[in-house]
Amino acid sequence: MADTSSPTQLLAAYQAGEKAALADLFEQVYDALYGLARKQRSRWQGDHTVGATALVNEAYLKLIDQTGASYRDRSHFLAVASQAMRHILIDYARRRQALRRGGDLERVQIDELFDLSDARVDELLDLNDAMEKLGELQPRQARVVECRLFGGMQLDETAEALNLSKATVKRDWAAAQALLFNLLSADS
Amino acid sequence: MTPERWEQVSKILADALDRPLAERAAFVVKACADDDELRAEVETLLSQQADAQVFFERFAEDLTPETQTRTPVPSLAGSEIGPYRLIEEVGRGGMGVVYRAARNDGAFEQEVALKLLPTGVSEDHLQRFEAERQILAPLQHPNIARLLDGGFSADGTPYFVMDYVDGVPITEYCDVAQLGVRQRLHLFGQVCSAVQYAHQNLVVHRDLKPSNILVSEDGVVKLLDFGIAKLLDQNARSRPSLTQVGARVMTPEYASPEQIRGDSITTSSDVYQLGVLLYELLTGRRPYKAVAIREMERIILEEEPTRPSTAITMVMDSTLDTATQTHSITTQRLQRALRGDLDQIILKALSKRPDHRYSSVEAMADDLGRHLRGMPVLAQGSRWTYVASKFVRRHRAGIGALALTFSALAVGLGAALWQGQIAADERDRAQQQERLASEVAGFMKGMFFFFASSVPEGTSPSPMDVLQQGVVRAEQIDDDPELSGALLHEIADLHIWIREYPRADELFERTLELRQTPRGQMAVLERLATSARLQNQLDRAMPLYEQAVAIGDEFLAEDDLDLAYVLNTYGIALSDAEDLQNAERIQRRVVAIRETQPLDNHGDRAQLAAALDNLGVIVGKSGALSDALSLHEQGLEYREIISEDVAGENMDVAWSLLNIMSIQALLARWDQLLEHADRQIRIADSTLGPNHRISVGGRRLKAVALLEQGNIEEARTLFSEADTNLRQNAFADKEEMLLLSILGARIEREAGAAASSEQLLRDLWPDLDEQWQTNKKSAFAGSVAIELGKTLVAASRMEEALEWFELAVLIETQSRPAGHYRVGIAHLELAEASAKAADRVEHAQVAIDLLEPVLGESHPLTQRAQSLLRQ
Repeated sequence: MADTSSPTQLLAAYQAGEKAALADLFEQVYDALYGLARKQRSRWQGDHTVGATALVNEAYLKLIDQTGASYRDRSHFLAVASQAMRHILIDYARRRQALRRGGDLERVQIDELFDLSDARVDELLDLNDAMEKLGELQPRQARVVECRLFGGMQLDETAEALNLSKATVKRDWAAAQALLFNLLSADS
Repeated sequence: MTPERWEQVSKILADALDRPLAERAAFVVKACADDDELRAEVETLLSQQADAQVFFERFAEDLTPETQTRTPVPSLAGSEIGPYRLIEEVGRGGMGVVYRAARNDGAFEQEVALKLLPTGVSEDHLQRFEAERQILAPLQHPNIARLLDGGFSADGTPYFVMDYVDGVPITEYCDVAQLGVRQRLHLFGQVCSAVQYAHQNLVVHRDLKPSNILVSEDGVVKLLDFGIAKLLDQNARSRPSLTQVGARVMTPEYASPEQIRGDSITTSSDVYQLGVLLYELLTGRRPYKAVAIREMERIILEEEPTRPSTAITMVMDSTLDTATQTHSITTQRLQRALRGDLDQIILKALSKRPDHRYSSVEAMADDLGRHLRGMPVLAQGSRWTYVASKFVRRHRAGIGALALTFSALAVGLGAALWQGQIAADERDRAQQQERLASEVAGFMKGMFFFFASSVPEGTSPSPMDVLQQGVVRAEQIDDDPELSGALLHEIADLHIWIREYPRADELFERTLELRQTPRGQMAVLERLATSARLQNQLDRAMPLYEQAVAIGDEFLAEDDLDLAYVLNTYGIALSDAEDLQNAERIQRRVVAIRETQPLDNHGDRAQLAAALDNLGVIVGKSGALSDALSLHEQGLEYREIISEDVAGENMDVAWSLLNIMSIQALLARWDQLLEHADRQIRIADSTLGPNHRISVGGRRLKAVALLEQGNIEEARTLFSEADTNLRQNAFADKEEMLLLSILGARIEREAGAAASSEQLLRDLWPDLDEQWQTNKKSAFAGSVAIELGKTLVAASRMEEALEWFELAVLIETQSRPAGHYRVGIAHLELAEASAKAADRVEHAQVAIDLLEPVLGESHPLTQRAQSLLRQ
């Protein structure tokens, strides 16, 4: 049923409280982001790189019918897209790491979606683990990080999307950064 | 951490961050009341907050690369901040926007640089600005831009004020002014002086690159932007985050390997970046070609930079021709200037490993200074390697590598010339070597002849007199240092053979000055090391061996036979020092080199046999008895082949047999041991004389076998013979003396004379006790402790015996590698002497586990342990 719905409809259904719509929307956004990333990558080649934030914004323009779309719609969509972007990056990082570990024995073909250093790739995976820990301690803060970091969302956009005050977002962001950084440095 | 706890921590943390920097600490103390743990958690996170922000800022930048258009920060030129008027924007970067400014109140006319955050982001950067201010404030150096002032603008934006440097990046300056190499080096010296000064104040720059190093019109260098420098404070270790941030902030092309890896950053990182800068200043390019960032990281970590002198020709080839233009000298001259010292200096600074670089900026600057003054530089490893390579460079045209065997006496003079590696002309070299060989041979003969004819008839010249005469004559040759060095080397070596060690050392030190090829240096250092080893001064010997091996590794081929010789004696020294792991590693290298030889002559066979035999000794000491036995037997095979062709007995066979016998003794194969014993003693007696330790050792092992078979009287007779013989040897081997004494004590015990046995062992103890207390290792202390225990058992003094066995377990456990059978022997004795059944079982089990794999099931010791378990 939901399969046939457009992202715009799914977003509206989600905003109206229909939980199932979120999963479908997420899936569509994930696919769209992935496709955009590949396309961007092949178009730019060479030194040009694909930016996560640019992709999220482009996905919004592509997927959501702009006529009548509100700031609130946009923020909600960006929050979903941030989550999808996190998954895309993590999946990408896992493949990169697998490729590196497999060496020549097991050549895994991967799409070079992003231009990230090996160190960054490792950090990305560590960060993901740390964010999961944070999610257990305070899910709200993990969501804030997701929006800020993977969707490049501003404080007020994040506040709107998560239905929080701007001050809370700011405080969450600061505290979460400190904790995540602490977890990451403890790792290494 | 629980969610509730985190709620608490995160609230206090966020509240603290909402407060001004200065009030935070006090706030946290108050907010945490008397919950110390809470306070510690908050304080840790708070201390990392600034670093965390930088980290995530950078992270976000990486995820959002520059294809994104950022909201431009409007220029504030024309507006006023504090008492300053902003004149124009002169630069902007991740750290803020820089303006040229002037004081508005007319107090000073001076122009300044005012660094200000982009509006609206103030909170994020606050701590980093504070850090920058605190670091810069005490730095006062003519080549570092001074921090003049700092504060907050009306809207709370932090800023600070530095010397305004009206200059251009150092690379641009050099090129525009068309400076030559020496002028560039002088300019670089100013940079070094500034960085060195900062290091003395515990500040590491971390981001040295041309855009941070400006040169004013009058040629004065100013370093800018210590913004990412961090105080090397003592807390750095408890705050690993600092280094991680270092890795993020760097500029990829100038980043040091440790910055890329995210390892800890020290002053050595600046040394590396100075290396990159010098490279660029002198060649017009960076050490590594610019590529995508990820590739750049890999290259910096893995690839060796192109030599600067080669890089310069690559610039030429690519028709850029800028390097020569800008250096105002020709390619050839430039290349000549770079090749040698400057290449070495730069490459040393660019070493991947910090500990291979200059230890300080000062050391690098000193070396450049020496280069400018035409003095030798220290860039290449040890003094000897450098001197050697310098020498070779000086005489590039036609030096043969002069090198005579340092064991010439053993192989026969003149026959053993080494094949050199560093030489221009094979033919010249061969002739050179032939000339030297015949000169040396003639000289050695003449040495005796001249002397013999100069002493009155009826008196016979002493060897020392002959040698002294030789030294005088060798040193009179002042127009041919190679020949003089070769002669002196041989004479010095003779002093080792006649055990005049101090004199040998003295002569070899003089030889070191004369033999300046790497091969010569290596050979002399090895002799000095071996002389020290033979004087039981391992501490002095080891560094000499290491230097010799380092030279060999650097300058000679991997399978070089001279190097194999050095490795062999080094391996023996390591074995003497009970560093069995390294001894084995080194000795395996020797065997590997010797095995590549075609083995078509006895010399090569003899060398291979010796290498196998030495390896066998080391492996045997480590407890792998059957491996050791097979190595000794292989060695024996080669030696038997040689014996067939050589008239008379071959002393090396006696050596091999002794080694085989000693393993057989450990394996309790008494019959097999006795089969070898008589032949071994006969050969050793006839070739080395009965007083030699090889002859004594053969008798000792035969006596052990007889004793084990219950033939006490015959054992005693043989022991007395060996003991008498060894006492007549003025240079009696310490180890053999000890082993013989232990045997004496065993015989006494078996003969029922426990008191005399105890006395003999107690006499041995103090030295061994000291040895193992000092080194926490001893090859023989455990054995003596066991024997003492056994003697006490024989005297029915069980409690004392038990103490000695316990000590033996401790000593053997500390002295041996894991799983060594000797530890098992100690446990076995302890088990047998234990009064408590539980202890017996426990130690017997340990003993079996250690003994059986090495000695086998049927070995008497294993059997004893088994029967203890069965009881």
